Amino acid sequence: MGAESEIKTTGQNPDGGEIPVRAIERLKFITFFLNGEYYAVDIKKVFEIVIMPEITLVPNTPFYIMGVINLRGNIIQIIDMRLKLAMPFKKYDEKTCIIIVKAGGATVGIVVDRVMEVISELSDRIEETPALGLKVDTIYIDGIVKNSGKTIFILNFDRVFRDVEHSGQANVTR
Amino acid sequence: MTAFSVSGESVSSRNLSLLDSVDKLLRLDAENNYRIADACLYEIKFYLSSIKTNDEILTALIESIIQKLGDSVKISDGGLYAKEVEILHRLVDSSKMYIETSVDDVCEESGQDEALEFMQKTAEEAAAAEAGVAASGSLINDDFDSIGEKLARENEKYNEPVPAVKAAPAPAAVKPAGSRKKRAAAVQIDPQMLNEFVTDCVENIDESEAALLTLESRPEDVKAIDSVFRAFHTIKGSSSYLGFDDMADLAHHAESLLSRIKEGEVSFSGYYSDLMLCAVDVIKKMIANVQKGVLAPPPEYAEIFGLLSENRVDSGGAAPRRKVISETASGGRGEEEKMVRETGAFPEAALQDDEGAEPDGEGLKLTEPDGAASNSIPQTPQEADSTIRVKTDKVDRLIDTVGELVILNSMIFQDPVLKTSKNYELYKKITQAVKMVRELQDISMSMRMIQFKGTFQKMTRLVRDTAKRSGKNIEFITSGSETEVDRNLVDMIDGALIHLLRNAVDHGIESAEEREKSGKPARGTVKLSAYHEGGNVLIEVSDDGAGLNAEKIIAKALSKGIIKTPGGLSEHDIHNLIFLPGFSTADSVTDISGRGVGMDVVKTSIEKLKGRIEIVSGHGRGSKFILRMPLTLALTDGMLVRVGGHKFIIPVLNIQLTFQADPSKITSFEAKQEMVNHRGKTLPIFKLGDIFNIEDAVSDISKGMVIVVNDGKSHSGFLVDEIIGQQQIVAKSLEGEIKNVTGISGGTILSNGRVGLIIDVMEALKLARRK
Repeated sequence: MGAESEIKTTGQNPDGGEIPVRAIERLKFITFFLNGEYYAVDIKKVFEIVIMPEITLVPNTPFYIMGVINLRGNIIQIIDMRLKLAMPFKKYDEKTCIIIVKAGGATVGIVVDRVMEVISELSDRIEETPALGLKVDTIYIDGIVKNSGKTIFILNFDRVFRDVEHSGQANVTR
Repeated sequence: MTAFSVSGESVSSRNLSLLDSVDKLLRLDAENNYRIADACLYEIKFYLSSIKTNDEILTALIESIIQKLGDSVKISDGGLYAKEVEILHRLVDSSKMYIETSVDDVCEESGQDEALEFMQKTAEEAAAAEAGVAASGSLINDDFDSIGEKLARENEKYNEPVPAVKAAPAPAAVKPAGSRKKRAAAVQIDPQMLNEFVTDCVENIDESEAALLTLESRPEDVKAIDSVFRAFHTIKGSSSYLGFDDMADLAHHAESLLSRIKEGEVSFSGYYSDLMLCAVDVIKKMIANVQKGVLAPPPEYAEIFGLLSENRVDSGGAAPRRKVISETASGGRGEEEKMVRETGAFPEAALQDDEGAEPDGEGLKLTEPDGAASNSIPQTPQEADSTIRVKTDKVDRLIDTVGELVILNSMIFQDPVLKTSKNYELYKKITQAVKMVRELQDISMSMRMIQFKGTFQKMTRLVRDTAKRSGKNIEFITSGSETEVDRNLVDMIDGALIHLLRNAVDHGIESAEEREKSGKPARGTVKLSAYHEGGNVLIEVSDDGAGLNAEKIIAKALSKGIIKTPGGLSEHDIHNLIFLPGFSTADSVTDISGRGVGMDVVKTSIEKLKGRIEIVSGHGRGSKFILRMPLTLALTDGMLVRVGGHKFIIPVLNIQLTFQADPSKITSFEAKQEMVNHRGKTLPIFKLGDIFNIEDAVSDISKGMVIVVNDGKSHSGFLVDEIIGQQQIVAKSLEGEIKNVTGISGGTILSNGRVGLIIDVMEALKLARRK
């Protein structure tokens, strides 16, 4: 019966759960390496990880958009995370990966230096982002996790790509 | 009244789930979980409305519960919830008990009495409880009172030996008395059921409309009457089953009118045809409303209903009534008789009905033994091809996936490893697979193809109504309604056709006097035809009316400043002027020559379908609009071109011609814009490499290829490095940040598995002119 579908017992926060919540839960992240730092993304946001395929350039787009790829018949836009976060460009090598995520209402492929591992953390171990001293705009960081001696920044892709509408007109070309 | 020992025989599983739901509801209520409780209430309602019984008490009881539920659901966020649920629970309990006791054995009287007693008590209690509730009180009290009365009556009966009361769910007609209350519950019907109902009704109503239009021109067509009859009957049945009583009543009265027509009591003409068509319209509206969850009948319902139920034998004295229905359908009648007729091999009504046995002598139906005989003997319709309904997006997904499979398949087939391999077995197998995939693609594409007949039928009605309203005598001829096209295309073509046909009737066809003055038959002809031609589908709308007046158009264009000089325009150019936005205002050329209202809208909608529109017209000679569209929106023809190291696709539709420029023909305009003289025409050349900032593209025009495109006003050339070839592509939209890149309309997967970008020619030209 149709009515049953209306019944939702979970009380998840509508953003998908990366925002630290009071109740302690176990969260899983995929960590990746970018410009000498470790970053993480909520595993629920990640569809898959692909090795660099051939990218078709899209003309007249912002400089951080590398182009589009064919992912089993779907056309996915590819964004270089280094350029997006105002880091220096690095030539792609065999370690370069694309993380396919759902962000800002669209499916996006994110180019990162290399993908590390999947980590599991209790939500109360996530620390708040310090206001200063980060390479990346703190608005994009949900929190910090210390895992086996490394400091990992939890990136909020939704926020990274939310200002799409405003920056979309940047007519910078390569 | 809590736990019951339920024997499986006496209580159906439905009642069990009903009780389960009520228990759940009570529990949820205790937890203050109102949102879920609401869902639970709907569940209960559903179970209740599905219980059918011929037992009067039980029916009344169930109905009162449903009524109760209707109110509970509404006030669930108020503070009355707990009490409501309590009453509800008791009602359900008692009805269940009643069911149990009445079915068990031949009724133990004591059990019976107990149940009845309890019910009465409950009813009283509930009534008392309700008395305090000002808002919904009175209505419910009434219900409870009436139940109480009934119970009292029943009680008396039970003093005598009681016959077995079969209360187990049994199919029985629901009494009309309860129908009002039942309807309150009907809105909450299982959505799927509702959907099926709506689809069914729409089909039936379309069918009856087609048949009615046939009847207008051939009142003796028994098959058409039967078809209308069947349609209304089905609507009546399913709507009353779901509790849409207004609709059922209307259908019922329409049916009785039809039976009178069938028996020859009244003749189907003027007044009655209008009336029936109005009834069809009202039902259409009601169906649309039901879909939106609105149950109240539309405003014109009462009028039509009154007219239908009126048992008028005399069709001549219709004059005073006429203005009532004029609102919905048309003005006068009688004197402005109009013929609606279908020519060609497949008469509309025949397709609508059973294809095999149409008693229409013309065309391909030679295999029919005796057309005339079947005319008088109503046949039971042959079983149509069995079909299943599938959601459109599922079919779309299938087609998309198959499209990808085709590409993947050709990638495998063209793989160099395979080409050079000596493994002929593998090669054979793959060849086989390629063939299968191609077949699969054909099949999947055909799944989305539907015939035009629905659209044509709609248009027939439109022309009929427009003609009546404008007081014109018009013969409407359609042909090719069996032409198959992509479903999406059919849905989207409607708007343009409505515009064109309205124009044709309203402005195109002159008044009868004018026509006679210019030596034309008094009755105007409007034609609508569809046919396939070379991978395209063509729709023609033509009329034998006044046609386009070139002088007036030019004068108008001059006054609007669209053109500078009156001369130098080809007929084609002049006709194209009417598509310009703003050309179509009330004081425009349309008043005289009859064209132009909203033509830009027509053009845009055709262009959206990747189609073109052509006009053939002359002053006083009528006009013909030809819409040329691809068969399907899923596949487009694209020209694959190379620009530097990049490949792009230019839709073939936009391409006029391609050529390699002779260096001597290249001129430079103001040292900036390069031009090429090709066959006497000077074309501005825009380099795709410049437009898209591709550094390694050719810049010498004579070294590349020029692709001539048309943006509606003028021709321009795009310079590309190389033309690779033409191929069919599945266009996909881009999402995210690259969604609105100027000059790119989308992407596609090329046969090498890479993404190719499709150029939006209009936008690219704009971009080029800006640079």
